[in-house]
Amino acid sequence: MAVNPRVSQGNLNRVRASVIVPAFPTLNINSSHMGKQFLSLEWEEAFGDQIETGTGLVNSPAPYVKATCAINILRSQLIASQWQAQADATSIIGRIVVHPDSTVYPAQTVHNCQILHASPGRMDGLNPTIDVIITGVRYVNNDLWNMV
Amino acid sequence: MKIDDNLSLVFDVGACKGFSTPISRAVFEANFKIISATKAALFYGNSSAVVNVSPVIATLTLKDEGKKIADASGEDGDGSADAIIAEIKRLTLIMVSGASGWDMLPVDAAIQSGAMDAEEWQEALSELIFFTASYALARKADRPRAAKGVCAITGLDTISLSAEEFMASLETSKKPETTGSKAGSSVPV
Repeated sequence: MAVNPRVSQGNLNRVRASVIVPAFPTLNINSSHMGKQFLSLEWEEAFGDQIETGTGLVNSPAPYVKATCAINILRSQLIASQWQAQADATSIIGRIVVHPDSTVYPAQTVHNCQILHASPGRMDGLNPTIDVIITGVRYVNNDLWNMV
Repeated sequence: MKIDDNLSLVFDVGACKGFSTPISRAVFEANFKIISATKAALFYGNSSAVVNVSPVIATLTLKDEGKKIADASGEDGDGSADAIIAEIKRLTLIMVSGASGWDMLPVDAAIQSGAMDAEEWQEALSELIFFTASYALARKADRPRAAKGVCAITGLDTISLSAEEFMASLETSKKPETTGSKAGSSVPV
């Protein structure tokens, strides 16, 4: 009979998730300023294309993918108004660094970011958050540049 | 305070560099009672005590004054002391030197990474609170002098660069940051 190796599955720390905005530190967000959904980060596109040929596939790696970061920010704190004011002034915020809810997963950098949406949302007294959507560029397949 | 001054603070903490943006006018106005009470307590006494002791006990003084404010109003709280500390922590970035250059971490992540320890952060935090208390209540014309005075007796220094520019200025012999750890594999050809 096989023996269960009991490899540790690790832990998540949901209050570790945070976002740094180096160009505008007043926008920095940590867990104390987020709703229950905290934040999410998605790469929106494929890392490359596989183009079908008559007899196989041609790989074509992409130099970048579009990234979307959604943050659930508390409207009941001053920080939501700072994000709104930032969008009113200029929605371009440069680089963001997203620190995940795991200590063993690296921080993710998204470049050339813009605040795409900062919607106040429902105001029925039951919704304490605003939804901020940030989009930017994630550079991938960096080894492509070694072949130029 | 920030009050639209283009000023930030930099300091050494452990083996790292700290970069802190002063609190906003809105935060100051929401917490002016505890900040002003803290300044009054820190600057009470002779100048030797202010120079040698006040920067070290600023965090404790903030908490103490917050407790007094809460007690006076019959509340069971800290008078927003922890909220101000959290705000200063949120506005502070720690530049950590790594294999791929300087990295910018939140305070908690920097402590967790071992780049600095909690005690070193507490020392820096106390100086940041000392700066906040003295600078926030200075008149606009007096703020540069207030900042200069605080920096002379603490490990803080003022800077007009952004966090990105400051980090770039640190990169003297390291490779610039990449978008992530680089995989060993090559792109298929």
